[in-house]
Amino acid sequence: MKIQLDRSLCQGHARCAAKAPGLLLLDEDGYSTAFDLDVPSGQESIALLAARNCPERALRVRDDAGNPLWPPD
Amino acid sequence: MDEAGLSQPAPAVVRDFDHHGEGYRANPLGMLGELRRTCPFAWSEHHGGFWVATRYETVVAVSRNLGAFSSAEGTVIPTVSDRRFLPIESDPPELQDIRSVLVPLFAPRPMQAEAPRIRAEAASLVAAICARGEGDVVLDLAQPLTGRTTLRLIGLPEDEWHDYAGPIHDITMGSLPLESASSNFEAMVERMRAEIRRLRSSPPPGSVLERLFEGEILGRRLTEDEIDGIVLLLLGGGLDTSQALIGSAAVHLGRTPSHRRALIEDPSRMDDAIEEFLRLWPPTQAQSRTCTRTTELMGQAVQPGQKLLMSYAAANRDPAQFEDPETVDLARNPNRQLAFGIGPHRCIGSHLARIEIDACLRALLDGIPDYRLREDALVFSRDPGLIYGYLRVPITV
Repeated sequence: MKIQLDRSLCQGHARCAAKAPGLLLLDEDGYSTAFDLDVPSGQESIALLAARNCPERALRVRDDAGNPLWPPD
Repeated sequence: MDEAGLSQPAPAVVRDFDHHGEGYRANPLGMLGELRRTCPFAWSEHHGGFWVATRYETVVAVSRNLGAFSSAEGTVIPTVSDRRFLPIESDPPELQDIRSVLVPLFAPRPMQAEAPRIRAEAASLVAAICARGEGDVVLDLAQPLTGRTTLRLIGLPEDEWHDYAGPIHDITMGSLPLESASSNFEAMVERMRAEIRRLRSSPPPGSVLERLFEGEILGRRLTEDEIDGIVLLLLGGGLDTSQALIGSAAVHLGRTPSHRRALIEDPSRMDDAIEEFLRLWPPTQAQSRTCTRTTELMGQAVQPGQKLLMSYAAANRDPAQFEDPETVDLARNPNRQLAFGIGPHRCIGSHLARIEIDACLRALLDGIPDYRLREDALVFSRDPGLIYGYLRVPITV
């Protein structure tokens, strides 16, 4: 699973880091750093849930085959 | 068709909606729900006329469209003060420049560094209520906790928090008639300005003021007026909003023993619970924008100069975004609630707010797990269209 951040959408709500601490990390100012994150195996569900909590929908999630899992549109 | 006719909203979308009226005060959530169901993008003739957006997707679209919707002419309808609040009442490029000064100061990490002190203060305020056998969640816990924390972070004398909080609450919660509230507010602003000038040569180390005195936007130093506007917003945001949510949550938990027990037995559920409380009772019920470019929204043409009210409270209960929106679901997850706004104006204080709310609710549930609400003595905001919350939440131990 891969997570890709759209930095133009991230506003620093930091909900991703609250939902997946240690996995979805923030920079000094509180913006996501998940520009191109390979989610370690076993942490897929927590990563997906964290992405789905982003109010800006700034985190795109794809499975290993490249199929989009989130956001739906 | 004449020019004037073009700018008139169709009669079919005109609704008698006033977020400062008696009907809203009596039943804000019912009124918003009815509007969202029957006319989700309505025109109100009150306060000089304004659009009302109650759907989640419309609120998001407007919040993100800075090219067509300006904040520079104010973000509340009607305007309550001629003072400029920054950066909430600014547009790009000023907006991003001021935010880039403030965002690092209120980022998650520096706020987490404040958390131990905030938790200790909350625990000691609850201990004092315990010792007396009775107290008020708003007056004796939420307001002093958020008041002291806000003043300390800004760099103003924290023991004087009430001198700032009082005049702000009198306006935002309507506890005084607007005329006398306004003169108290103006006196508070003058006091704030004098204090900022006094501290100019020696601001408290590490304070926001210290950073603002050195802060640059648009390739120059912040002006005195801009610093005043920023501190004014930090005071309004810091003293008003978290305390209101803490009161609303304490009322809900006081009435819902099963939820109280759930959070006492498993405090790790608090993060999701707080998001749910924010979704259901957002202190800042709405914000407004001024249209600068003709824009079509929900089939209506919004025209330059027209005001638009975005209701976070209504959007947060939109069934298109939230399943069973009227249900208080402590485990709701995901929860993309809009209490802190969305887009480029997202509330900078959100990380601090969540820590303060968490500290107060945990201290209350730890210290007085069986607190009893004095329902007969609850006092709800007199103007929930500005800030939704309680003026008094008395409890007994």
